[in-house]
Amino acid sequence: MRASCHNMGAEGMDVQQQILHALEKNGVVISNEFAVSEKETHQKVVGAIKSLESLGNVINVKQIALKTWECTDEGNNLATSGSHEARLFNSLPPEGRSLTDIKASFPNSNFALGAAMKNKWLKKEGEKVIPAVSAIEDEVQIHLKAIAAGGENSVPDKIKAEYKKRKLIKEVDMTVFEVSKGSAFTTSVMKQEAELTKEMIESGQWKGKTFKPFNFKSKGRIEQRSGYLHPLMQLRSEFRQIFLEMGFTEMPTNNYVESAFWNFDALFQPQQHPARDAHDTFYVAEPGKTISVPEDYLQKVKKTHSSGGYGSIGYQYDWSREEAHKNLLRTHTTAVSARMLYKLAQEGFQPVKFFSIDRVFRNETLDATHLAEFNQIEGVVADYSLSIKNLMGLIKGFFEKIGITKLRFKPAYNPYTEPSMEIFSYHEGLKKWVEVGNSGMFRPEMLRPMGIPEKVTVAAWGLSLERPAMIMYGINNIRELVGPRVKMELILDNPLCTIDKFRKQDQPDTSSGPTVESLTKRQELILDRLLALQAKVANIAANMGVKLEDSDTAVTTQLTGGPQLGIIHDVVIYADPRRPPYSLRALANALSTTYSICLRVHCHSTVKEVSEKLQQFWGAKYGVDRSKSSVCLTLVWRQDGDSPTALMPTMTVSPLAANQVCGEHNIGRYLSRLVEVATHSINLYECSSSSVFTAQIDELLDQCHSKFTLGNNRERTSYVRELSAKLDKESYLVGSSITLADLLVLSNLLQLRMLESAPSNVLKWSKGCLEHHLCKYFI
Amino acid sequence: MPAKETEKYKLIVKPSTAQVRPYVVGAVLRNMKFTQAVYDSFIDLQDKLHQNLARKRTLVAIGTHDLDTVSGPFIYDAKVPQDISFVPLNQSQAIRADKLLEMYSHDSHLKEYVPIIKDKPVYPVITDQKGVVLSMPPIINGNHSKITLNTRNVFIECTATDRYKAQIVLDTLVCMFSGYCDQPYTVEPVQVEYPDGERVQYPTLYYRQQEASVSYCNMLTGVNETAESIAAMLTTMSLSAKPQGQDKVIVEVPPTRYDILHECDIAEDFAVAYGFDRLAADMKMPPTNTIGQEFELNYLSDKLRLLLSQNNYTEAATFSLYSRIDMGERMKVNLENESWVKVANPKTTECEAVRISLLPGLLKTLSANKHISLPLKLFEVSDVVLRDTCPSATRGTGARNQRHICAINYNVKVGIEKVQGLLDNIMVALKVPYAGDNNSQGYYLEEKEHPSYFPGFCGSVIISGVPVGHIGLVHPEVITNFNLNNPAAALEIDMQKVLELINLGK
Repeated sequence: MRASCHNMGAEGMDVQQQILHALEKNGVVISNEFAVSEKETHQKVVGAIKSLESLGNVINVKQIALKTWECTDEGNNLATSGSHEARLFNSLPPEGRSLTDIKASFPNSNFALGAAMKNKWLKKEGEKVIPAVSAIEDEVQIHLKAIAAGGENSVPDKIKAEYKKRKLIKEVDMTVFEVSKGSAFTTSVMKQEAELTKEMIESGQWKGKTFKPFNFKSKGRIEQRSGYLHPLMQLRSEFRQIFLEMGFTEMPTNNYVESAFWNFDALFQPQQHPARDAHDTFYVAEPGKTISVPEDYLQKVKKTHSSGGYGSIGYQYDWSREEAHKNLLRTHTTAVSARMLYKLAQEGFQPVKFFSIDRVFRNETLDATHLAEFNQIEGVVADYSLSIKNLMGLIKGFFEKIGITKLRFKPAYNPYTEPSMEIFSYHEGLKKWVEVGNSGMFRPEMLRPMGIPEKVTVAAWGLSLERPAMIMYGINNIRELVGPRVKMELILDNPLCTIDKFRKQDQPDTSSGPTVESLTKRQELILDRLLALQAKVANIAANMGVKLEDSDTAVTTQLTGGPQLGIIHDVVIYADPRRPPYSLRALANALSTTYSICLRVHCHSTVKEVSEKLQQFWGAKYGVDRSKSSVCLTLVWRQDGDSPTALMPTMTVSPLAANQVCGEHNIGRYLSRLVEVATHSINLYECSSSSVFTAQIDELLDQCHSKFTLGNNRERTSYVRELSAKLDKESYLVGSSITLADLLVLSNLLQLRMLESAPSNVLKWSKGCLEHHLCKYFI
Repeated sequence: MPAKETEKYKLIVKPSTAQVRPYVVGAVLRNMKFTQAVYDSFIDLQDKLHQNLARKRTLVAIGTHDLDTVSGPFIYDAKVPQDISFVPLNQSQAIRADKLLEMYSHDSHLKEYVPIIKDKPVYPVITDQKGVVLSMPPIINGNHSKITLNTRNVFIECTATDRYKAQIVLDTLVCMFSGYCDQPYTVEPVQVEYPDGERVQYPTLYYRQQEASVSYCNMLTGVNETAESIAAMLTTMSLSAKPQGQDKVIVEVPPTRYDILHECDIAEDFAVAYGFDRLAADMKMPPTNTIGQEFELNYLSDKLRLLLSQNNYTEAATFSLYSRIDMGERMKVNLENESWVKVANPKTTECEAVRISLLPGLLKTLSANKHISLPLKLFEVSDVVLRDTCPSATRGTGARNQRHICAINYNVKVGIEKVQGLLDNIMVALKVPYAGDNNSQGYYLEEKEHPSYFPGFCGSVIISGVPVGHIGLVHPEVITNFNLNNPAAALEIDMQKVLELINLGK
């Protein structure tokens, strides 16, 4: 908008002035009509209105969205040079021309002839076509000219429809402005200067000028994009800074290719350790073998592994030099720590503090949180008689520097540290303890063969750089943080990385949760209230002559986390491809009747292959785009194991509330409620006010879960018999229409492939269910 | 858990097993009572042992059998596949071993074990004296001796390529499940007879004495406890321990604790018993006073990163693993001529090679950011890796990292001079003078072909006669290979070499 204001010259001023005069006369000006009447382009008029608007309260402006007509290229053509028929008429000499001649030489001759005849402009005389009138009025041209100039109101609607059909004009959206007098309306607007210039300052002219007011409400402009450092690399610098502040020396970690010897054997990690498996470690094909390892040290390592030493019994296996000589991409920077400690021992031990932050490699299957390479942060302190209390103190000092003050340590197992501790910190956002790193004291079997003195102990801890960065920048997919597919916005939007280094001093300890006493008190209060409520209900029941049943009263349908306008309700379901939760398809159908619903299918890395059918679980081309949806169902195929519980689907509704809903029956309950919150026309579970109805469904759901999902084959077949008995009399399991119970039972029978062998009335029931409109894509 | 000497079951080992899986151990659990839960747990433990300690059955494979369906002595033999035929677990028909392996190579659960013996000349097999096949380790048991909930007497055999691990696995199984025998914690031994006449009785159930020094435990934990109290705390960790004098605790390590190798393992149990929370309440910084020091190369890299960003170039963080096609074909580089490091077992093609240049990573970053308004100016300061036979430069491995600076200027119109200006600024910062007339003091450019660059528009960056990198217009084919459509000028120099040359000059 600024640009258009700057370009507003004297001409623009005229239009502004005209608008102001028109306002004074008529009280209101509509931009497009004004443009037509003043023979200005609409764009110019709008520019002038905007300029006037920027002056303050001179005018009031209201936007109106309009549908209006515009000539197509063809229409414009006819508007300038006339309709085909008029051109034909004009081209004819008074004596006329032969029909063949016209047809051969005149473009669009058929149409032109037809239209001219219809208008009675021309007539046929034998082979010739001759003018029937002396002069014509080309209405088509007049109309099109009017439309091109914005005066479409003069053209009857019927004719516009015809022109539209002939593709001469088209309908377009247009924003027009309705202008009225403002509180400070005046017709004498002084020309405003756009900017203060060198000339004005030198001549002193600025004193007599008024300046266009600066719009403080708009954003600024940058001449050229600045250069930035990558957020992850900035965080790396912060961690380096912390180590340096703590007096640590940086290790030369610039060797990605490492021998298995330094990466594993030197750390007393046995050669059969699963971490050394090709599934976890990248081995190097070229150069496949390491060139050299210090031989006397290698002999000591070999002996410690195979038969022990330094007070250890060792791992008791045949240590292989060949295995140790294999080259690999280092799996941790501890390989470099080992080299540094060995070097230290060779040069004469003295206490040291080492750190490094550099790349390490794992042969992972890549997913949202795993990469084949990441940065490891590592701190190592070697001194006489260090204890794990010292290790804890170091870790506390380190984490306080990044604003993490609440730490706990959990015993753990690492092959090369003893004792070992996992580091947990309390996450204020997630309200739970999360693992932030790993630590331990290096084993004597690692240190002593290097020549580190007996009384020296070495404390070490490590963490990844990417994890804290993901938390800091709120990124869920690691590939949005690092790698060549990172979007530049991440870097441009996070130009500076600062960490919470200064919280330590003034942070009061708020970790103490509620005390046992306060919880007891609260519990007693709730119980008291419930008792009072029960008495009240009994009282009312007695008065009304109602007999209370023993069962609980109806469950109210209250979903606190239910869908809201404008917020996508995200439901993520993990399911095993061997047990596809078919009932979800019907529930998705039900959901789609009341919500705009987005349906997606993903495949977790634990699943090697998923059939086409399961990839299209929700049916082909089904649902809307996520951004347009109010409910998003994401199905992730995942294989977690073979036990019945591992085969069960699980559902997460809010990624922050880590609570999972387990089992197809419970997912069904949730989704049914979601349907029923929005509509009363679908009654799957507890929408009907009858608590008995819901209780019956509940019973069936639980039975189905325990017998089908968790049960063995015998239990399953006997339950089918039970259901068959029930279906003898009824066409649905509960009530007279399809319910969640039907959906779940049907889904389970399909999953377990038990439908084929089911009794005939069960088959009949299943057919009935499958014909139901909700079960459109059931199988 | 004393072994009861009632009856001996022999396991006779045939010489041919040495070709495939030389060791076997065994034990008998008599009068077991299985419930569904115990049975499931028994199977679970075998699974866990197979996965971890037995390293996916390569080291040890466990077979458990209903003893009452077979009769000893048992024979551990190895035969050619065509000579083995039996009804495998949960099948109804006898299948020949080679066919069986063919079948299991498609089984989602068993296929990972098939390669362990597939190409061996002989397959291991355990039979009873009547020739009933108990198992074909490490693949599958026979159906005949299958364990059910009604099984009372269990014969356990573990075949192995690692004798010590087999012993651990057997001891662990026996220790965990002998408690379900009618006479709890009893086991009947099995005698293994090797062809060379060696006779060993299993399970060994060896209790080892491990001494732990009180001062060592106290030092490692940071506390000051007496021998008595350490012993008492170890007892709460189910380790039988006795104080011996002022500075010694004798611990009896049971066969279930094969993880205890050294007194540091005892010290850890003590620390856990003492309580990590209790230790954390008194945590302290170590007294170690040291002065921090940066690694010079990283220090200079950080300075140069800052300089490049001040020149309005934005930093990218790309991966050091590439696919071969990204590094070779798409860059028009023939990898045959390059000393690149090849990954042996990548799970994805994205990780086939360690990069020899930073340029492909920047080109990929550009192609992921085509929605950003031009010009896009990117840089990265990071390591590439090259094969090298020099032991000292490669720290003995045969490959060395080399730190590179790479920068690219991508715009609708761009000339080499754009990145050349950046190069000039870097050289000013490093105090390397410009030697326009190619004299040996300072840096200059010399036209030189490079397959990734547009012919005629590529130069070598040279300092004091030594080439340190390339500068030029990226080859149009390379541009299109990375799904880009604008010209790009790029610069890649070996920063480590530059620094070496500067230091040499000093």
